[in-house]
Amino acid sequence: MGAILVDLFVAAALGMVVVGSTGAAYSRGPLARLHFLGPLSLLAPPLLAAAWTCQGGSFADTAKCWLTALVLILQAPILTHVAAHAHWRRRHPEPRTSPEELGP
Amino acid sequence: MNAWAVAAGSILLAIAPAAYLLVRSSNLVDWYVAMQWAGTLGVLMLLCLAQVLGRPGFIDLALALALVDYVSGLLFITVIERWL
Repeated sequence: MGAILVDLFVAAALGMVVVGSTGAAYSRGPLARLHFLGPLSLLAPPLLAAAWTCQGGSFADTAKCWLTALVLILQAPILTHVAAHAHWRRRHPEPRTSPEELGP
Repeated sequence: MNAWAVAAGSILLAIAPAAYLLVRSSNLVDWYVAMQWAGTLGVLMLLCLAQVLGRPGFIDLALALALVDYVSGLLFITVIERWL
């Protein structure tokens, strides 16, 4: 039963990787690519960590695996937001005002 | 060959489109997206390799890569937004 669960979790994580990578590869533009990297960063890590848990092993290794998944889950929305913000700022730069326009 | 080995090999193959995007695109934000993409896949691949090779030390590498990926990503995007 445990081995089947491990295979299921690994297959699900691999499915997320395939879907995310294929979508990102065929998308046009950074924003569309960022949408496809979501499931890759948010769903695949906990699925792999769950597979680690079902596989059995030392508690420390399993905990580190979950910690790695947690780091990926927490960082993904932040990095996606800053990337989208940077893309938007590059397309809509702030108007620069000259010192003469600012006045004394 | 177990599921972990198949997953590690497939994830390694999935890094190829990210590398292609990095080489072909001239958009800096695209470079950043490719970096984030490859970094996440690298972390997942290290987790699989730890199981395939029976070397739990690879989990430490994966954790370190995830943290470095986060910090370097923020630095890179800050440089893009402010100076480039």
